[in-house]
Amino acid sequence: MVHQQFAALGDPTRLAIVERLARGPTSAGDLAAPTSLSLTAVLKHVRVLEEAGLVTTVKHGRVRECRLRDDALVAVATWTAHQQALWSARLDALGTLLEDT
Amino acid sequence: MTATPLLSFDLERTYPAPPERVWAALTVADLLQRWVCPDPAWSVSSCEVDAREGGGYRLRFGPRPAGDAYSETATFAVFEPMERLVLDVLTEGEDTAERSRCTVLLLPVEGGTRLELTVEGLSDAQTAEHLRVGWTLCLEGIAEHLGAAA
Repeated sequence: MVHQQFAALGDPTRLAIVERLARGPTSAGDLAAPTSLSLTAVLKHVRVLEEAGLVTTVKHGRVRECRLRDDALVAVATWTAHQQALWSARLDALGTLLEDT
Repeated sequence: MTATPLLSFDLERTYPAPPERVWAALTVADLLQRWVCPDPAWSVSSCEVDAREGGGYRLRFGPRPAGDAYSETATFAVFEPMERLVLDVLTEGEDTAERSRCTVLLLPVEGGTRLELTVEGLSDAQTAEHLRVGWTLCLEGIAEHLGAAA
């Protein structure tokens, strides 16, 4: 999941969408308004963010409301914690090796 | 805020050994495989190193009795003996593929070597900077949002 999130965010337009949604939910139309993108193009990007678990959308009548998921950052933080534990253990093991030889 | 702690971290150790020995432990296969797998639940099944800029290492872990295995492949993006090693790491398991960039600095200090490690998560090298800037903006946005909601 975390790889998918990194990949989803590796696009400037989608980063801009996430940054906008971090300030609060909005409609897909309002996401498209300040850009030169069509609503269809914006919806495609929103779909990628939705599949990566970063964004949820709900349809209210003719308007699709987009919001950042509350747990959007959890997978990224978990990945970092695991990596930190791994490398910390590795560096300790390296120290043991250097003492022994 | 200059960088988000969510996507990167730093570690530091001082070893009672000269930089030459620390460098060898990072870049000689027989030495690398002796510390790179500290998790007793796993073991290294193969370890190859191509010690030059543009080279790298390939590590295989497992398979364990249950049949699971994974590999870690690194490219040495920067290879400055005894001083600096930058690795682009790809970790691949059955249904995962994760990339990270590790920067190792070796600094001679009295009685040994200080090692400084920085690890950053990324989807690929080109998007790393977008991610760093993007998450900074994103987190600032969330902080503002939380501030406004409070």
